[in-house]
Amino acid sequence: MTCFEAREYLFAFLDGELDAPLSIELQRHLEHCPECAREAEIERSIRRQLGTVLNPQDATAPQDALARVMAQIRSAEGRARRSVWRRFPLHVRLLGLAAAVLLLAVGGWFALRGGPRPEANQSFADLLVADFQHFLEAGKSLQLQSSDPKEASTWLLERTHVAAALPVMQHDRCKLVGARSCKVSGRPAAFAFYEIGGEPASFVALAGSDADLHEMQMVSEGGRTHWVDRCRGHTIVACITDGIVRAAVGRMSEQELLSLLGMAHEG
Amino acid sequence: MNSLASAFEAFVAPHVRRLWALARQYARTPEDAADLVQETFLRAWRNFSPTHEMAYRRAWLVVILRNVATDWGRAERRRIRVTPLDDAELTEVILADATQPFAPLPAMDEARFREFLDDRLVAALDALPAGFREVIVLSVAGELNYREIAEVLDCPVGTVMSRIGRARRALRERLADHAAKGRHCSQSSGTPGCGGSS
Ligand SMILES: [Zn+2]
Repeated sequence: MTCFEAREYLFAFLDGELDAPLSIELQRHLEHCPECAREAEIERSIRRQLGTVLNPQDATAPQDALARVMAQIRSAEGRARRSVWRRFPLHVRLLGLAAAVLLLAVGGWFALRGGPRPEANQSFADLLVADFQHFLEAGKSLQLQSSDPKEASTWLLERTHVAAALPVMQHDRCKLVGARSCKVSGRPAAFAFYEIGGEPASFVALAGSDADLHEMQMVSEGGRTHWVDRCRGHTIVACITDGIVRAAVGRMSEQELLSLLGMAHEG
Repeated sequence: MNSLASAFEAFVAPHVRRLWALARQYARTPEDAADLVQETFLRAWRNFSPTHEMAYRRAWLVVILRNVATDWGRAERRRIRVTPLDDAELTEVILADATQPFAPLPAMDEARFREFLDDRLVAALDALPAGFREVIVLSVAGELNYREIAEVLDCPVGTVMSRIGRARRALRERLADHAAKGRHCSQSSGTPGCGGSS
């Protein structure tokens, strides 16, 4: 290595940014070239002194700033929980939205269809409300943050004894965010939260039967059956397997939501 | 009790010291620096999602801080040092090109050299063009590696490496100027860097 090269690489070397072979070469040059070694020593001193002058002693100001921001965040959340949850931070808002959508979809659908409301369905909706309110009042987001469907399913099974059987996603577009346990119709339910192309979507699973879904539109194709409904720009899909009702809610297409139920069509 | 708020706080806490060091460099007064970090925390919170990979990159908060500083600088509401990188300006400064030895500093013993730096380093740093000063600040005050600086400045890593090299050379020139003018040059036996390598 020449002195010219040594000087060219010196700063990256001192910053620990030089790759190993060059670093070794430069080190060797410094061992044999007193002039470059002296330059390195000078630059090292300058770097050290820069560290000192650029490192402010008094660090209480930023801690205070953070404390103020956190107080603001927490009080805003307190207010939002009591009234408008629109002002919630994105993540909580998305979760709230997903839950609200489910609620509106179920509730609005009953209201629109009118007629006698099956007792079971009414309490199903009521308990969704209760769960939603509890979710907001407790300021809870997810009890488990996980993008691993296997981990989340195991966690949900342990907590709720509901086999959520979250599917392994075939596309990166659909991401599992996390899970929480809740109750729907007094029945322990598994709740999972997803992002599909950045949009929120929820998954709920609980022990049940087609009586829970009988007013949704039943779709049978390819030997498989699912139920679907739409409400205010949102889609709800559901299926029943082995006495477990699984439902997914979001703004995306029926097909995309079906992927949350492990029922997406290939291709 | 909110887990998202707590997650955010836990994420930000380890970076507070570095952000403060940077804010102190971007803003000209401690008051503006405090406002700058506070606005950074707020903006970060508004964009924070624990699922957002970006949020867990160390440079993310620095990117936000720099954006806030840039906005403020543009609005001229505060005295902010961030200026859009002006490559023409930088090119001019590095006319003394990389083939030249480092600017010579008079021979000084270690204690004396430290005293000299104590005296002159801040002024030399402040005399650098903003773009040069900034890479040094990001590297030293921000404790960012070259890859992270590249992310903050939105440029290739190679550009960061060469810009830091030029910035440090330019800093050295400022120091040499100070030394030549100042009382420290009494025995100005200019010590050349090593010779050219042709
Ligand atoms: Zn040499």
